[in-house]
Amino acid sequence: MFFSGKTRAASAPSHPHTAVPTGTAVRICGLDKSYVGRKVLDSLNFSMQPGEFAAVVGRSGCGKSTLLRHLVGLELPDAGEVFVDGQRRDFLHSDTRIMFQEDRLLPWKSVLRNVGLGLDGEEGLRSARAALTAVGLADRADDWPAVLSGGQKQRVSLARALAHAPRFMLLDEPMGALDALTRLEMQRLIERLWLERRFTALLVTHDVGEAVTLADRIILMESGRIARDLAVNLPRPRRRGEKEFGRLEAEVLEWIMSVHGGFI
Amino acid sequence: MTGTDPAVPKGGKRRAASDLLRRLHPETDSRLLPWLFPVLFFAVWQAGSSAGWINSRVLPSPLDVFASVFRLSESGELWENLRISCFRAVSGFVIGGSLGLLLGFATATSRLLETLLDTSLQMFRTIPHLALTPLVIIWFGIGEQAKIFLIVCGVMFPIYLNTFHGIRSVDPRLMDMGRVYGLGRRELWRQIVLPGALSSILVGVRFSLGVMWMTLIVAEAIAASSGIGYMASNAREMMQTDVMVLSILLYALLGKLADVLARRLERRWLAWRPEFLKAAP
Repeated sequence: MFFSGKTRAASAPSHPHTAVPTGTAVRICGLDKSYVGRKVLDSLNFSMQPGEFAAVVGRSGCGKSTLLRHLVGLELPDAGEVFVDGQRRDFLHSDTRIMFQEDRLLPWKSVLRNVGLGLDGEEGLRSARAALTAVGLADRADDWPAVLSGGQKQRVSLARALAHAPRFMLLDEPMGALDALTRLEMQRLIERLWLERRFTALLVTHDVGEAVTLADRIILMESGRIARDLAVNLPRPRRRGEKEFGRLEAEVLEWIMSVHGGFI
Repeated sequence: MTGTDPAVPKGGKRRAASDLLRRLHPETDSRLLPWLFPVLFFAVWQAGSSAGWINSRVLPSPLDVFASVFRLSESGELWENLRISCFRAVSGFVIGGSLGLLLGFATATSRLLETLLDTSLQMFRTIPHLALTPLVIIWFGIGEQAKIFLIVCGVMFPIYLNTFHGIRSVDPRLMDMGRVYGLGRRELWRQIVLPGALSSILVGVRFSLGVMWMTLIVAEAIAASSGIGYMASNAREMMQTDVMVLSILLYALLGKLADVLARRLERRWLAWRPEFLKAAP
């Protein structure tokens, strides 16, 4: 199988805390999707190693979010296939969880019940509580979502994803609506939890700096296909302002801006 | 400090005003305050009657009305009429409400049923249900069914419309989220659709409670041999203005009671809504 002994491919640098990857291997073959005649995914191919952290960047409308909806099983492709751990995937599966741009918490459930959504009984509540502790919000378990700040709500929705112990985590711009400081905190939290748990993570983002901070690989998408695939070989934790960080960020940004279809 | 936020002194002033009120009336309670105007109203009314400004044949004094309560309750007439009116109201509301709820669920969840039923329901809805009264009397006579049928017609549509609207406006993004997190059809319904539609359904309930009393008054005044509405129209024939006023006051009280109950339900079931959340102490 994919998650055998060979730890992390050449694209992934060695980390100070190397845990055994529990993430899934993912392979996407020739994915096609059109909406009302417009091609959103155009025979898209790529694969991920178990436990890898990849970031997808690109202009709005390049098909990033559609790709995630296919991977999580909310949409079916017109053609092509998704394989997770070598098995064909065209349905919702409990090993895959997604974090959306909006928190999508149920306002009529307490924080703890939100995190425990889809989990049963005592066992479910226990893992919900553990996930809430992992994001540092154990003391807000009994509050309504309405009284939390935007950053706290997004942490609750991260906890909700973690409570299912996912092996493949999809992050659909989960930090897009947060202010700059909260966003930095959230990035550190996600990186820490990823290093601890070693799920396979795919992050869609507009923020190139965020992609460079978190990802082993940056995938540049352009009109439904992958245009470039860049390895990020920087030691973690990465800091903005380091020379190599800045160079990489500038390179990716330059590339995105140079893609045809700019406004200026 | 220069450039202070203009909102700050404003809020301060408002707080000062409520502080002042509290200082003038230390025992003033937010639960008593709403009754200030009703009490004032009755006081002025009584004063007018006592001073002889209001002809008691046109409008009896509150004390006369109060006396009629004793007279009527001694004979048992009042309680019997009250009981029968409440029975009609509640059974009509339960039947009509359930019908509206079920139809709302059905049309909101199935496109087929929506296409099949919605046009008919919308057409039926535009008929003022009280216009059916003459026909209903021919169908059912002046028995219980006539009144209950009219209430059912009146109560059903507000609840139907609000249930339909409530379910349709449940955020589809929450539904997606629920599916991703492993909820099946039943669980989606129980944990997302129903709670999401509940506030809208309760709006329908409160609205239809108003319709319920109104229908009952009309139905009992036209076609009944018991009930508060009958008591009122009977009193008209005997020129008992005190009983007529009493009936009106009873309707006001019952209407208020129903509204209080509906609000209680809202507070209980919609405790998560920001407007019901109390600031943390």
